[in-house]
Amino acid sequence: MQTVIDKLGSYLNAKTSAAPLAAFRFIFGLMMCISLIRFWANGWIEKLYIEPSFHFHYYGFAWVRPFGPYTYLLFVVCGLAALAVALGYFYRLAITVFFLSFTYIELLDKTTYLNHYYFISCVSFLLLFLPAASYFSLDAKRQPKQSRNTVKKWHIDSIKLLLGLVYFYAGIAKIQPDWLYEALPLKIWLPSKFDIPVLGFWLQKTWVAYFFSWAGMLYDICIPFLLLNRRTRPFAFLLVVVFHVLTRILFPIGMFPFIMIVSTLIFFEPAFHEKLLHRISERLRNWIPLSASSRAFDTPKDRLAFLCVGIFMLFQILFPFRYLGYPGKLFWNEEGYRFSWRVMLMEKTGLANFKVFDKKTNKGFYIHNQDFLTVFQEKQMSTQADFMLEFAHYLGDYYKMKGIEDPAVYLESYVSLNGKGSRQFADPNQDLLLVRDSFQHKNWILSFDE
Amino acid sequence: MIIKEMFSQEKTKLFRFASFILFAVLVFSCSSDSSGDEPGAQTDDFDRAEMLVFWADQIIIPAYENYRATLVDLNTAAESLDTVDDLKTLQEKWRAAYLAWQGVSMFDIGKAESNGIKVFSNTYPTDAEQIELNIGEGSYNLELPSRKAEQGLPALDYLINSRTLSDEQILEQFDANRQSYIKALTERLLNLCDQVLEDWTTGDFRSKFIANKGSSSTSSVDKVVNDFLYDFEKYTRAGKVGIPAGVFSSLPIPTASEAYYSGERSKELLLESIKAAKGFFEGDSWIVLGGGPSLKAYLDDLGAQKDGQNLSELILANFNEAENLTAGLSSDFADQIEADNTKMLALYDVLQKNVVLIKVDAMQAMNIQVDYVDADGD
Repeated sequence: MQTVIDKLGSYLNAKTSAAPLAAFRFIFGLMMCISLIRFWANGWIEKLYIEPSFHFHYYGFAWVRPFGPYTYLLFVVCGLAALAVALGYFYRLAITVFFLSFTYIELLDKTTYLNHYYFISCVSFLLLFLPAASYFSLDAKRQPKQSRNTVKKWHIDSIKLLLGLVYFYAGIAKIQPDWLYEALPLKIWLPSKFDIPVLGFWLQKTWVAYFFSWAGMLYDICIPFLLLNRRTRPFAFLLVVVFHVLTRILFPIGMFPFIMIVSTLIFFEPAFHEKLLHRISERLRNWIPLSASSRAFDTPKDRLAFLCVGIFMLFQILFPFRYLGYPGKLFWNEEGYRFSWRVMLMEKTGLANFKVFDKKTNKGFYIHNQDFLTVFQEKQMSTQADFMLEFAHYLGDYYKMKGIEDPAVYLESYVSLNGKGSRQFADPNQDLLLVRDSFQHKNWILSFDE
Repeated sequence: MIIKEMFSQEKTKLFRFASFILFAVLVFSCSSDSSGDEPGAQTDDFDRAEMLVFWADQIIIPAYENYRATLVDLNTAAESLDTVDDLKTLQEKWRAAYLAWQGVSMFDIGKAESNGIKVFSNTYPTDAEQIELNIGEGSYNLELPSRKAEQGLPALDYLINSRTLSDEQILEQFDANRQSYIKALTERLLNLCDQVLEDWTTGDFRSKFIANKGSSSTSSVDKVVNDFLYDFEKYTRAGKVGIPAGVFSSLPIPTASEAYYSGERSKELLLESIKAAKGFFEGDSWIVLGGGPSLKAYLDDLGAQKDGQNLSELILANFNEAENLTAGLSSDFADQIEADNTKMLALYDVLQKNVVLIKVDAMQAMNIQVDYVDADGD
């Protein structure tokens, strides 16, 4: 027991070069800034957050609202914060503002949920506790006495652990019959990419879908360990690049592949990062210098940071398993599906028709979803129960306002999972207004029996 | 400078290696944004390019030519409206044009999409009140989007047919203004059709359409399939049956039936529309007897199944059932709705079943996005 504590103590005090953490901060901030500009340039702020009159909220976050045209300001703040993070300028403030504004944006509408946005929120949360601007930063230039060229080993390891978890959990999520034994959904997705030069021909082959399924699973599970090992690292990085470039070619996944590729650089030796930063600093004509005074750490504060990061990591390790608490098929019910690194695991298509029923007159009518929702919102709503429920309540409120005193809302919905054929998703006889959303199992979802 | 000395040769190599790969990634990723459709790159077992040629030459263009011919007749018939026989001819030509329209309604692509032929030719219920105002004033701009309910085949329906008046009485109403409005409507229909057809034949749309054989959301196959589904879901299922039968309202709206004023055409228009959808799905050629490559063949090639049956068979069976149910209805849906709306609702359910099969099962099998959304995935 004593040795464990000793070991933990010496691990907590172990120091290493500050370069990897500084390089990570610099690249991450820059990538975020570019991502936000791209998001704006694509017109998505308008389309996703300003135009829709209704937004799907995360449980408990219904208070998060867009600010109309001022939503752009939120993105400006977020982008500037990202830039300040990259430069290490008032770093603590910058990363706090970035984390809060970015997460706020993501909470606006769960229609736009992506694992990689969640990943960014997680990384920026983690960065709140790390001295990522102690080196190669404008802060270090401003306050040379605060600068240092070493950080604790755990600072860098925590980023490695988070990245490793993302890959590893994405890998074990692929260990399931559809993915491994039927090559689904890749068997549906790949053949339709017939027009990709060279690759298109092979994507038609069934064995290729199986190969990609198994290789993808093995890659995700193994890559953290291959990156950790110094001898396999160059090979692992090559794999990372090939894997992510391939996914970028095959699927519309935006910036995510590049963010992952550059993030894995954290696994490289400090010397690599020293050299990288040296080059960047030279290019910037030493605007951000590499000098540092090696001052000792403020230990109590650092211990507190370790505690916070430890709790956060524990959460990260446990949270993806919450699905075990729900009955039924995870991919069908999607209870405990999000925030668990389940990436591109299934193909789901659905159709949902809502019927508003006037209990006084015993008359009802179907509504047109697109009178209320954007195409994107309707699409996400059509396969996910929590969306359906929220929309049903929205309709209930809307028609109460329109004069139906005692409405009921019924749902006729069909969903097809991984090409298994459409089947009824929700109990069509359940008045959804009588159901409150909660973390309990939604027993109005009809079970998926093979 | 201490830093520099820290590097062994090996580290430099690794650094170069990593920078090279990163550079390659960036170049590659930027160029992959606009994935070109190289000729000959297509290797799918099922030849989508061949299907596009078939669609263009043996379904879409012939259907538009057929529709155009009926519009030419309609225009001629609208020239002189002096006798009851003239009126009867006009009604007959209008009917032929309306039936032919059902064959092109779904192809909302190219010029059809940009000139709005679909909404300008067949928006109903028509705005009778505004039509009377237009005739009274004698001036109107039919090209404005806000005027879509004052023109097209439904407006003609209102002007040349009546549920209460005899043909003689209709004819009596035909003053100069009314006649010139009718003429303006038929000319506008023909003009819209000409624009579309010319783009397909003398313009370069056919070659663009065929060249766009890729798998992106903006490829011809994806667009046409989406248009086909949209037409079937919104115009056939909802427009012709669901809305008049009161599926989307508290009470039925018989006046919202297609060709309401004719009092006898809504059934045959629906039948024609189902026939067109089924024919497109099966790949019925307009030119030669028999079928060509179309969605049925594509789904079969992909091996799409549902509950152990071929998905394409299920969809076809549903089209057939819808035809059978329609055959048992009154030729006028407004009458049918008032007499026995349950039959309309039963028909709606069958059409709805096919929407599910096409929109959920078939689209998933073909991996075509319904209403493509421009946003990142995971």
